[in-house]
Amino acid sequence: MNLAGRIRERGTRRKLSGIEISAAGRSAFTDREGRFELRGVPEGEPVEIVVAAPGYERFTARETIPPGQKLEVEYRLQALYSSPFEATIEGERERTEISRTTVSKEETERVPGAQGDSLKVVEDLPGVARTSPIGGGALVIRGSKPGDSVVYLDGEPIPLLYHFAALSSTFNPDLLEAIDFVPGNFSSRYGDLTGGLVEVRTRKLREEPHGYANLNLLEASALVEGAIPEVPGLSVALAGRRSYIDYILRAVLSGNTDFSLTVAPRYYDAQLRVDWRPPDNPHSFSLLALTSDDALGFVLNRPTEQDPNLSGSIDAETGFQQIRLKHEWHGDRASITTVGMYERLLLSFDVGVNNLHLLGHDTYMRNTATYDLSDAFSLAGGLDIANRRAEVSAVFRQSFLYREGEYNNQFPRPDDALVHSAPTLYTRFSPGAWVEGRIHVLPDLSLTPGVRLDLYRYGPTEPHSSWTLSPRLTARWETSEQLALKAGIGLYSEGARNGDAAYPFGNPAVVPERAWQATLGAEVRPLPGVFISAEGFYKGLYDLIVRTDAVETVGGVTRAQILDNAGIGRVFGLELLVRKELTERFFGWVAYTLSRSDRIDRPGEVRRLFDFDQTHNLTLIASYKLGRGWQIGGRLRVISGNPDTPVVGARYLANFDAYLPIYGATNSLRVPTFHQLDVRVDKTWTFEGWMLDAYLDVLNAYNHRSIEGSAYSYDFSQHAYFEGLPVVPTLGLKGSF
Amino acid sequence: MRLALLASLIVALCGCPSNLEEQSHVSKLRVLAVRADPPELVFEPDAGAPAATLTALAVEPGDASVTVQFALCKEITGTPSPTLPCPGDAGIELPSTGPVSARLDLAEPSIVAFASAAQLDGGAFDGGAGIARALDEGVPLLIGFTARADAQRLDGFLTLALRSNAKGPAGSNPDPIDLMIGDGGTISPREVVRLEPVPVGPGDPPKVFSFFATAGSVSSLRSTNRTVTGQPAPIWVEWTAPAPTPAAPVRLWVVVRDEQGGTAWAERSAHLQ
Repeated sequence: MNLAGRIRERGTRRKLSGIEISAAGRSAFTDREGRFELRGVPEGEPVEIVVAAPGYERFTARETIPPGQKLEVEYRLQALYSSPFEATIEGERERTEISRTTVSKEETERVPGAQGDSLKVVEDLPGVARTSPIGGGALVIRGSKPGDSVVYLDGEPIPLLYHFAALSSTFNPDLLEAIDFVPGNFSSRYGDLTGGLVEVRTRKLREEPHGYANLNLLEASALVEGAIPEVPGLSVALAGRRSYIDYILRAVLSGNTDFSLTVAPRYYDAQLRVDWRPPDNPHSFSLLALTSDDALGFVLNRPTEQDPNLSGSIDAETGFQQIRLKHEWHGDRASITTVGMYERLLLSFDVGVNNLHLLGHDTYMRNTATYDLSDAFSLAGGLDIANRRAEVSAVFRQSFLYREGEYNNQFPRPDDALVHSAPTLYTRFSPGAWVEGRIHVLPDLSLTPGVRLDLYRYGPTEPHSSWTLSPRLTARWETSEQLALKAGIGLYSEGARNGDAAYPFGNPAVVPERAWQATLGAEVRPLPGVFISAEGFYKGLYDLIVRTDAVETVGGVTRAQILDNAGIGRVFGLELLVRKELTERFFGWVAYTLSRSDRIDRPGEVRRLFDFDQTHNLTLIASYKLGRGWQIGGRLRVISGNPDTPVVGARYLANFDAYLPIYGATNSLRVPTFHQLDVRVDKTWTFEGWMLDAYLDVLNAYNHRSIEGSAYSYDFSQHAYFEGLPVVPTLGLKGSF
Repeated sequence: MRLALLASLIVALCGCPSNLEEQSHVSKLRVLAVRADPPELVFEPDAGAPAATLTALAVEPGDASVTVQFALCKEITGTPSPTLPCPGDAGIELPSTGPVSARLDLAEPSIVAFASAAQLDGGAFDGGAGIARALDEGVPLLIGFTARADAQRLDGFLTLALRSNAKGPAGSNPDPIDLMIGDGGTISPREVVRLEPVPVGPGDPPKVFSFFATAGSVSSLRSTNRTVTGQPAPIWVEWTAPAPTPAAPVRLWVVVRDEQGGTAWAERSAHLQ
């Protein structure tokens, strides 16, 4: 052997394996580390080295090997269509859900309108309602209210997914591998939710040094990662982000007499990840530490027009810190994964005399074991424990606590009495145990029966417990390489959240909300890389937590019951996804949902539409690599307007110089149809050891002011609409190595 | 709750569509305030049933004749349904003392009959905790009123506290105030001048001022001498005079409300040159 070396990709410096290198009629392939060796190459004279690999420009070099010596070289190949992302090739993940959609990081980061934020892409998938003018707001999946659906980060929930107004997510997108979206009929391994779920998967850390710095109009972020050579298998990544909206707003708002900033709005987040995968060892360990914090503060010097009670200090701070430890063991036929997490959660709001201060200390554990009994039968089971403890104090008006079906762009009643809640400890202990089998009753037909037992315990004052048993079954029949049929049915439960089971915010006696879900669908792969899915679904909702006027006597004190479980609802619809997965140049999809979601809040009341019922929801996404580092994409959305509750009159409140609206039938109107085109252009420059990506992401490219809701004059005699965002260009620059 | 607070914050910060009429602009029949004198009803020992005079600041820019009908609502609540028929089937009409005023006297036989029924009706006053304790805390008496001017009509509520003297004697309405318009000199079309209630001392208890005008534009409907979280604040607002100059003088009002239910107001006219 007299010629050896390594082949990497130009720009990313990624090691390239399986690449053929030839010289003087001899050839070899690079190994997993990108290394190659050639023997018997002529010495003392120039020899042409040729590297030709699919997806890369042909590389040639002339080398002279000194007689009797070995020549060590490193070559860097230029990708035909540059990609700053590490291509992770895995076998298809085991499918225990019938409606799982996986979007890779490369796709999510180039979706127009997402401003490079992977998590915002969820709103572009079938079954997800549009809730925010800029995308990525509250998560509404298959007609379930926000809060019924959960975002998991590597198996454990993340409490705050976005910074202010969903400007960007609280977790660095560069650490992600992919996003799995499961809108319904999910596996028994997930509990305490009746909507859908998003599983955000982080990637394995890279062994070679890697990093980036990103600047855009709102924030700056950076990441560094690499292996620790002294400890085989140990890799570390550190990432951070800080907004600079505060500096901009301070300049804009100086001199305003109505309004003075005390804490200019700012957010930051940071992540530390340590992976240790000892070579040739079935055990691996991972640590992930997260922090995120948002703060703003200002003083309203004059009471607002809508509410004379609202003036003075407005302060908000939200944030969380999490430490996650993960251990994985993989044997021949079995595996065990354990994740433990501690979370500190801070929610602090002061809005005039109203306030809410919550400091939570939560612990979570998720333990999952799998065992393949045979090729035809495998078993999985696990234990989830969530123990949440929060000290909460608040001063609020009940009409401030908007519930689904109530929010109507109006303020809370100014005549509503203030409720003072002294600092109190609230606990929510929710362990769940589950078991799930996977049975191949025929080679192409698999059944996945499962059952889950959940316990919900609230306390410590007025302790209350309840439990639910939730059987589930899914079936998948791969009739051919091109066609699969799928079906599922199951029960789901969700314990009261957000104070619904805590007096004086709610009623400690409420029981979990329940849902049964059914899905029937088909998947077609007519061409390589093309995927078509059609699903019909139905959800029956019962024991929904709703308001009641009833009073009750507890401990000799008569008080309002506030909430009970009298609500029911239903959701049904059809989802269609036509998707071209990313190959060399093009990816895109068409997502269409036809659905209806409605509720009956109390027995005897009329059925009404759900707040985010969107009959038609159509999203078209396309992105194309033009070559020479250029990529262009577009996103077009056409979505039915949200339901709206009309105001049919008003009554003057002389004590407050304000008007009390008289509402018509809840959600009996609908605002006009939403439509918007977003465009994104990327240009990537590839240098020897790093890459530079400049992008222009234009929201609402043809400047159509969408209607986001109703507004009324002071006495509700005149009506107008709140309009959405105008055209918003975002310019960004990202350098990575 | 987190979402609700944030949503309110966002709505508070974002501007409503600009084509909607502002509350400070008086262009039709309006009730700008209702004053009860005294502003709360307090049972004093050996003083008989308390009474109060109710007076509305009801205005109509076209100078149409305005009348206001008052009624004591039969519902004991501080948060009434806006559709409660009061005046009407759910109210006890109060005798007028003028076009826009009436007298609420708890010694009136019809009111005594209602109070007796309410007390016997399972404790409508207080949820069963005892009438004496409820009165110590204060019971909200709901007054419904309807203002009329030609074909125009406006319905409203006033809440009046009824209580024992456990927390002291009845409060009083704020002292009369005046409204300074600029420096008191002539005003030109489109000129921006300050509207400032006087006198208001730095040590005065918290008050909220509301400003109204039949023409021109007021920069802020409300001001306060002290925000609800204690910061001192400017009580003046700015008024932009209309253009072209209207034929009639512009009428301006300021209403002051204190935290005990007390109300006072002043009206001034501005002649533009």
